[in-house]
Amino acid sequence: MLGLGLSITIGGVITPYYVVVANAFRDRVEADGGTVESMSCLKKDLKVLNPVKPTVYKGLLNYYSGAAAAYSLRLLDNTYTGDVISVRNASTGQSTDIGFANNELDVAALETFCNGADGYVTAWYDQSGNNKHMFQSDAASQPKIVSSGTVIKDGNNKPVVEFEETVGQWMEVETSIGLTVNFLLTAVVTPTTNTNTWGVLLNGATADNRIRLYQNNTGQVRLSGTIYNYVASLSIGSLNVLSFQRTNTTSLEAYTNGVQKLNTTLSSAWSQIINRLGANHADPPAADHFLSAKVSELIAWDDTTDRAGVETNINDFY
Amino acid sequence: MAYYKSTDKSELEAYNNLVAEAENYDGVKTVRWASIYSHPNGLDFAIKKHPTYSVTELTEVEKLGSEWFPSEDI
Repeated sequence: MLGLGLSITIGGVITPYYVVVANAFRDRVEADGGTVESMSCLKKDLKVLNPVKPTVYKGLLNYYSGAAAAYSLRLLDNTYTGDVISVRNASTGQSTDIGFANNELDVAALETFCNGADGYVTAWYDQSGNNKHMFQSDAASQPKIVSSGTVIKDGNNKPVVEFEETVGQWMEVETSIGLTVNFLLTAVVTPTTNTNTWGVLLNGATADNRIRLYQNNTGQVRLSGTIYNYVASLSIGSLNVLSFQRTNTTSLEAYTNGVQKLNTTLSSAWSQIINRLGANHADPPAADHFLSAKVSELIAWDDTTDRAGVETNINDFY
Repeated sequence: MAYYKSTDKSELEAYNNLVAEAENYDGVKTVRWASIYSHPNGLDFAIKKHPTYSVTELTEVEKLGSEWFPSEDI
């Protein structure tokens, strides 16, 4: 095909390429002494030759809707009109909201705002539409996203939110989120050490519900007080896709990078599981329970959303 | 992350205010430097030490031991 569906800019005006071709054809014919009987017919014919339609971006939630909460540094839903995060400039003390550029975190705007300083996340906005935003108003506990003016990125050059165990950085939702009968919870995480003590990924409002990623590659889920340890087989320093799923009322499955690592019996809902990201429930959180990881994305569905499909979408992007 | 300890909670609150004012927090998205830890004995308190601001009146420790945090099943 001729690529006639593309556009070019002439004198500041965006012109469909089929119009450019039609005009060029007319000019050539007239230069040879002929005429074009109908320019409108010519343009219509050329347009039909290659009716390229504009590409509409679709995020993960456009394919798998109904999330209970959704945090990411990429646009997850093309109807979401809010910002990605709010960031504090460590030099000025002031914060600003950062939005999207090309459906991902606007890295240029963030680095301009930080102007050579470190940047810390004060809010990570929920893209699900349920307003379950995460906040951290203590400067000492805000996770980092900019280091000396440069956005922190993972091995695939995607921005990440960094939680350091030794500093004790974490975030919290105003109202906890519970998962009931069937659910899917996915997290895109790059662990930075395999020696942390009790690294909490997610914690509910009490000690009874949590997910831990801690020393010696151990994963741990705790549901209504019952603990299940498993070998998580995490890749330290690399991106891991973690999924926790219940597809019926009697079992919980945990996956690392699409491979099942736990399949255990349970019969209760995961009450208030999303309350804190990166710390336990204590107030203030226990110092030996902080997370050592870079987090790219965290999404929960309180239904039977297709785990494999979601993981494919995540892997395609990251 | 080092901490300052004191038996006088108001001293730690004063340190918190000192850092918040010096760092020019906006009071909306960032409202303070850090939360104050209370020891289970009810007598001791602690706060994270800011790397830039030191005070001689408070006792600095490298970390808080496990005795600071209520035990829980792991």
